[in-house]
Amino acid sequence: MAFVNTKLKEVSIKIVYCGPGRGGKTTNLEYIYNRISNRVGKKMVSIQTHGDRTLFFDFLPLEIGKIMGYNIKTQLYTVPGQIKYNATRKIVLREVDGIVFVADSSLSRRKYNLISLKNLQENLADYNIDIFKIPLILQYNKQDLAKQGIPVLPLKVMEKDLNSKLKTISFTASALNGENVIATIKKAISITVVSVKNKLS
Amino acid sequence: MDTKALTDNIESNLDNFFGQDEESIQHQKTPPGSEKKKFPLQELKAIVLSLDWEISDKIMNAFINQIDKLSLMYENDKVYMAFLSILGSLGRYIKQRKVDSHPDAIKILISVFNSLEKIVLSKDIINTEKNIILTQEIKKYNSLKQDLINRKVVEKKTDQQSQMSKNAKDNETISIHLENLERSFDEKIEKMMKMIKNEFIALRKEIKTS
Ligand SMILES: Nc1nc2c(ncn2[C@@H]2O[C@H](COP(=O)(O)OP(=O)(O)OP(=O)(O)O)[C@@H](O)[C@H]2O)c(=O)[nH]1
Ligand SMILES: [Mg+2]
Repeated sequence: MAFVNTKLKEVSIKIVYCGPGRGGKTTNLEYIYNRISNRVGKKMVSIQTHGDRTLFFDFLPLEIGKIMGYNIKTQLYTVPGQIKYNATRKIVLREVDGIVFVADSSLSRRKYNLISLKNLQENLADYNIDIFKIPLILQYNKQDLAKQGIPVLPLKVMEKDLNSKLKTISFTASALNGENVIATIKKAISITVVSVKNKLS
Repeated sequence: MDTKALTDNIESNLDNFFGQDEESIQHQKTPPGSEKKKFPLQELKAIVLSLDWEISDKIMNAFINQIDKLSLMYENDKVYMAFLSILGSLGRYIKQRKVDSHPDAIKILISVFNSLEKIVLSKDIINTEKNIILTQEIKKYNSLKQDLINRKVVEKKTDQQSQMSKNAKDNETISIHLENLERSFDEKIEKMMKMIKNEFIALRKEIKTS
């Protein structure tokens, strides 16, 4: 649950990027970081990687300014996507307020998107969070692969696989080029702040 | 404030924060049939991408085959050939060691491939640029090679040590040694997890009190 400091008029929200290993979570964060690093002094922290695989998490704090008189502090995290690191994933998910699920659009990754979403649902359930209630945005990443002749899943299939029950906002994206990366995080922050506010009042 | 007004308020804040966005394309498909034309590295690229997932003999053989094919195709171009020979030797190394490959090996292979792709795709790139890119990749490759040589030296030393203890209790010592190694690895992970947990708590506190 978000931290609200009424005295200082400050709200901290935590958004976690989830999704299958190699789906592009870290790439999303890196793009966001590069986009704003010249303006915010804050560092992006990547804790423990093996090659470029996330072993623990990436962390990027953002202060996006005042909303309704409250200073909104946002913390972005990514979890390790590899199946075997579930304990860490769970730790990172503690007290999560909003989720971006980064799915891999390559045809060959279909199964892993499903496994990962299911795993997310279970991990959230352990914290008594209902995946259908928590603010969640779907991102169908790596769309650019299609242009290079790599088969990608048709949007219809991805929607059916991942969004037929969630019925949430989804973006196609290409984190590598930054396409829709900012749109995704903006939406995620916005629905998360609204949900936090509604919970409080 | 109602939800709609609140959302507008948040979103205009976010626009300020991130800067105006390239238009956000929700649900936009890439136009059908775009860029159908095959480019020479297409198959190699598909293989390189799949390396993220699986490193099997089958895939590595396909990779090496592609390199051989492309080498015939580009045999008159020195720069291309240099790229291909780095890729080939990385490919053979990874095929041999699979998951035990140096953690940077795949990364460097991908980076070398990306640079090659960049050169093949950009029509008006000049030779100097090509050479600069190539030099950078060679540097990465060489530092990997150096690192592997260093590791070998260390391995040899530990080999010698275990050779000495061999007379004493032979295999048993080695298996205990391995067990200890594994245990200390587990402990390390355990420690890191604890550290991270504490970090989270501290972070939360900091936010609460600041
Ligand atoms: N073609 C393409 N490649 C991408 C895209 N986004 C990420 N990648 C590549 O996919 C690989 C994995 O990306 P990461 O961001 O490290 O993936 P991750 O989800 O953090 O992976 P884990 O940390 O293992 O869970 C990298 O080689 C990226 O460059 C994309 O939009 N298009
Ligand atoms: Mg990662």
